Amino acid sequence: MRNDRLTALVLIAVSIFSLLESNRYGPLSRLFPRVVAVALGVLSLVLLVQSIVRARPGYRQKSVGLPSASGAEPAETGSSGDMRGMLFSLLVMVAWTLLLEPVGFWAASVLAFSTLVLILRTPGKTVVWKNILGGAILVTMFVLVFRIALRVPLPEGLLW
Amino acid sequence: MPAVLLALLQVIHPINLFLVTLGVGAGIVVGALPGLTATMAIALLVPFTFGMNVVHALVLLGGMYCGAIYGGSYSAILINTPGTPAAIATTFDGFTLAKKGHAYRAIVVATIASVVGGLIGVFFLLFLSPPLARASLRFGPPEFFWLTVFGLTIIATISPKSTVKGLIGGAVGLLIGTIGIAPIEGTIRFSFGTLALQNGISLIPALIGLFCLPEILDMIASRNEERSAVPYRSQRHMLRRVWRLMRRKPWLLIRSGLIGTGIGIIPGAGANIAGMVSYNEAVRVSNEPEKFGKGNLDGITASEASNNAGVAGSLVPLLTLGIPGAPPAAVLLGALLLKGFRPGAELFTVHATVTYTFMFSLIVANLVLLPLGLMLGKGASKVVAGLPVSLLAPLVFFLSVIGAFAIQNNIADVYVMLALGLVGYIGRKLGFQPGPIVLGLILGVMCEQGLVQSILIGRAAGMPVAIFFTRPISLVLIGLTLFSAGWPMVSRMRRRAAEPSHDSDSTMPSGGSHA
Amino acid sequence: MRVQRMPRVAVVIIAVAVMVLPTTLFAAGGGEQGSFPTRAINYVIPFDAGGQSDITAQYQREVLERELGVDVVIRHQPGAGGALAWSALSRGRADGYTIAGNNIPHIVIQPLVRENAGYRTEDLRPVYMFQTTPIGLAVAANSPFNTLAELIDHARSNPGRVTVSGSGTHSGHHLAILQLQYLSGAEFTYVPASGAAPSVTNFLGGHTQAILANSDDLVQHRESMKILAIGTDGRFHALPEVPTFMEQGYDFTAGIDRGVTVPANTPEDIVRRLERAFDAVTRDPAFVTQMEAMGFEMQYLGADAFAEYVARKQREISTVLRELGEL
Repeated sequence: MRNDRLTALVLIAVSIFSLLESNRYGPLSRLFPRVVAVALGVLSLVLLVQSIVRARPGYRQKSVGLPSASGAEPAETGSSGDMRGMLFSLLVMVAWTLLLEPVGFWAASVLAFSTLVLILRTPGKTVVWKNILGGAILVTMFVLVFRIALRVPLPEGLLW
Repeated sequence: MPAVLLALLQVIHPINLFLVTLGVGAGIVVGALPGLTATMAIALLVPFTFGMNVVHALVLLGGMYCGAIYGGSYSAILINTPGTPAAIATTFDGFTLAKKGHAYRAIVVATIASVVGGLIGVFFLLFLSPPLARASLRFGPPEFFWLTVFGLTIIATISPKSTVKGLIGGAVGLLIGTIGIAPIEGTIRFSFGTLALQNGISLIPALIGLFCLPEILDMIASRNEERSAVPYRSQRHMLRRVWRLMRRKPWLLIRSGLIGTGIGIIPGAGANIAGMVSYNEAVRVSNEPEKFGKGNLDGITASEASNNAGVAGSLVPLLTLGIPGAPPAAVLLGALLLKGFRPGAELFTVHATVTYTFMFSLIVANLVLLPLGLMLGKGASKVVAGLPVSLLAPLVFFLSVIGAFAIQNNIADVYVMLALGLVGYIGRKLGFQPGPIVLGLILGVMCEQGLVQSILIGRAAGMPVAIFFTRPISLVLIGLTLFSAGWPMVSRMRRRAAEPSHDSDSTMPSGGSHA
Repeated sequence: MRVQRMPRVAVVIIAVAVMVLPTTLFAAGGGEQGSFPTRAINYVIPFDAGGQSDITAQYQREVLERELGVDVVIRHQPGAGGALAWSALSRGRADGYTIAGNNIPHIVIQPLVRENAGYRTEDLRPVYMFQTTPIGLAVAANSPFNTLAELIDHARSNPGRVTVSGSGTHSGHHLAILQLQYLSGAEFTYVPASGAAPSVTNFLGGHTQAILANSDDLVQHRESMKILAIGTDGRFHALPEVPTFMEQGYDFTAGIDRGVTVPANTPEDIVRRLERAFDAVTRDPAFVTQMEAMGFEMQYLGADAFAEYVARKQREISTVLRELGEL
């Protein structure tokens, strides 16, 4: 419930910002963003009220539209999993995208792919070097297909 | 008539059969990779058809178009990421099945539905093109506006757990869609002074980010030893079993095919929303709406039959009027013009043989789809099942990056993909699903265009408001919108009347108490 | 166990490669000659695949490859009215291996109407201009108006009542309607669509009364419309019965000029090499026949003449936009 309240407040802020920002646009450019911003604000208010009402001790859960029971199945168990591994992987992914241009698409991808394989390995069970080799082969093949066959100009950077 | 006979002979010529198969196969592969769309597949192939004769080129490109739209279902089912925007609604039920080990079953359903839907579309293309194309022109800016408003009511269906959150997601999508250059005055909106945002948020990177990255992160967080994230279980006689099930609901297939064809014909609407509209109708008509989104085969059927019917639909205005019904059709138009063919009446008189060969080749393409799709689909689901998370997660992310980049050869799109991926992940933890956000993004651009164009036209005619409410097709669409928005309440009341005892403890996922 | 799965993955990857790689065979070939070029040249189209710039480039490619002796790779980078591709080009390597389509007025208008378009027109060096698509004004075949004069009279006495469809804001069509309004004193309602195709759809469906369209669309749909005026100097070869705006007393031309451009600091000899190649392409008889049949007008402007032309257009367009209060 606290999450919902926070989300609603953030979204209300977004809605107010959009309304203010759209003042600078011409009449036909601001119409649509305004309508949407107002809708977003109103809906977020509803969410805010809902979360406050439902957090009250005397509230009995109704049958429909339970905001708390939301999300896909993995989401409900999501926070319990390997959060550290997830965050490390996410950092690698961010680095991956940032390195694409300076280092080159192929090099950055092989590097980041291998790092992820290392982070995600199960000690004792995975034959790490085979997965790294497999990953490198896959990456190389895709890069070749895109560069040469499909003529997509993937960033070359320092190391191709 | 001799033209038709000649075309029949042409289409069964081994070279053409080979080219159709090649096109469908390559299309499936491209469509299955997230980020590589049908439009892109055809655009990449056009230069290579330069040296071919027109029949060969069209047959190949047409096969590619069918294959790519169908191929989008693989990644939708296997990694919860629509391979092409047309397959969004396929993720709702497809991925749930895949996680339970029924990926191949879902793919078989998608394949049969695609074949049937595709054939329905070609039927209309063959026999009713000219009147349908003329009718499609009746769709002006006000109709587009109402069509998109109707489209937004789908949110209530695809976010059963919390309608408010679904609607908020939709509004966020609409707002994201306003970033960039405004359609009328050319104002640059919400760019925060950056060059990258001036161009707006492109659909494909957003789609990959919102759907794919959260899935990868969850896959990583919940990985378990080296067990597969998407297990593969095989069953004997899958095709026959599934067909026996699907045969029981012919109307579902036919209705979805009709919706897909109809929406495909409307220039600019395209297959992207055909799947969602059809899904929406399937839920509404169903006696058990609560089963959708939890691995219901009917959901996959509705989505896939509809988007493949949209392929032929989008060719109706293309061949008769020279107006493409969808982005891939626009690239096909370019290929036609390159060959010196001018769409319109000439195509059905002077060049009738070529035109009919092309149309017949689409029938072949849809038939080839069955064995080829089942084969590739089985392969794909086995591969995904065989990969440990430590390999699958980096691979899927790599494909996301390459797909996001290749759509416009723009590195900024990769950053957009990552940023929206994070938004999607946090949103998902808070109970916001990617479906409504992407729906808002797709519809927002069309909706605003329709709105402001209508206002301009209405103002010129001295009826700035009345223009929205006086045109016949608009009125039909308004009626549909009201019906669709009110339906969850109606169905809830009906069910309450039918089974009063279950009222207090059911979770009622179809409900939209706030709709 | 998992490791044994690897070959299967390899099989699938090879299958992918087998499906996609044959296409390279078509594109293979090309030798080397002189110092430039020695490798493939990227020809960037700042608009969508399937559009007119794309089609023209696809036609040029074959002859261009013959002339330059290397592969020419056409790729698309649409967005922001062309500005996305042009800003990328202006920041890229000035070695002649990446060239981009240069569409006037777009390339001139974008930096004028925006605080930050990512490039300035001066950051790019025009190389060669090969065609013009004249813009014409048309009404529906069953329209009560038969001449430009009738339409303009009606618009003068009913300001804002006549709707005109066109392909977007700050596009060639937009500029044409602004010039027509400026010169005639009539007031139209311009209804911009998100491209040429949706604009034609709006018009053919009867949702607008008139349309500003490129010559190839006019040629394509001429049975369902009355073309009232065309934006050429003299009569247009593909539509000789249509009078020009100038003939009817409105002293302006309207069209979209297409050429190619490179970053401004590209070495002189490379610019000249590309100029020669495009000149040869544009004078190729087969190319001329195809282009004229589609409704395009040929142009043969070399680097210097093209640069002058761009500068002149820049002055003209900024004057028009300023006087009409669009800036």
